[in-house]
Amino acid sequence: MTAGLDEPQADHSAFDSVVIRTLLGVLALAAGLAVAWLAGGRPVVLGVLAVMLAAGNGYGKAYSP
Amino acid sequence: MFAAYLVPGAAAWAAVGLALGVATVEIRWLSTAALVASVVYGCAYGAAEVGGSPWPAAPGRRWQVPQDLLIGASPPRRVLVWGSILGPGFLTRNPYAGFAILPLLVAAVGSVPAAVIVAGLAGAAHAAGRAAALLRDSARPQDDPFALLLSSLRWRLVDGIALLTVAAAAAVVAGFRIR
Repeated sequence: MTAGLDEPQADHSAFDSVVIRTLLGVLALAAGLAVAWLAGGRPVVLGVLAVMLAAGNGYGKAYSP
Repeated sequence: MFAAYLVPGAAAWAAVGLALGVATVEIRWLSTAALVASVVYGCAYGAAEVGGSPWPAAPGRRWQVPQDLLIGASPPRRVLVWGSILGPGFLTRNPYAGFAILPLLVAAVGSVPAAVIVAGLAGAAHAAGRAAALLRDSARPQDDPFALLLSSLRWRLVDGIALLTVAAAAAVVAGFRIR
């Protein structure tokens, strides 16, 4: 137990911290820039990302309350 | 089960891809406008989802499949109805902003064949993800509502990360195209 939270809840709390969210956002931007740059700015990179985004969206939608 | 989701998902999205592809050929600036819109949309909604802000809500419909559409239906017909509606994903509520950027990305690829292929694959991927999640849920006991809410919030964060990645990639593609 940590501050009244059990271990999974504490993990969620840590995951939700502002610092981690900011870092994840910056990393996401950097990853997108790097991937598209390495692909030479070709639109196909957007197609690949769209397919991955669609798959994750479909899977995650089941968690919608 | 997978086919009942995959076929309508891929077909509906391929049709959308065809329409968007033709529109981008007819209207020359549309593809670049979609690219710029992808950057703006991805940054705005991605930052909101990663930051945990409840506003703005993901754009889209609020409709859910009504129970009376399924009551009394045979199991194959029920799967068909679910697959046709949930596979493409246009008609029902989607809590994540990532879904609405997909048509913009399809329009941004810049040619009719590419738009049809990307849209068809995206539709198939969305439908496969939806079907896989249903199979996952049917194979184990239902999560309690609090756990479901936490999972939804974590998926919203993942969706925001994906949106920021897409937005940054779209910015680079726009830079190369305009250069």
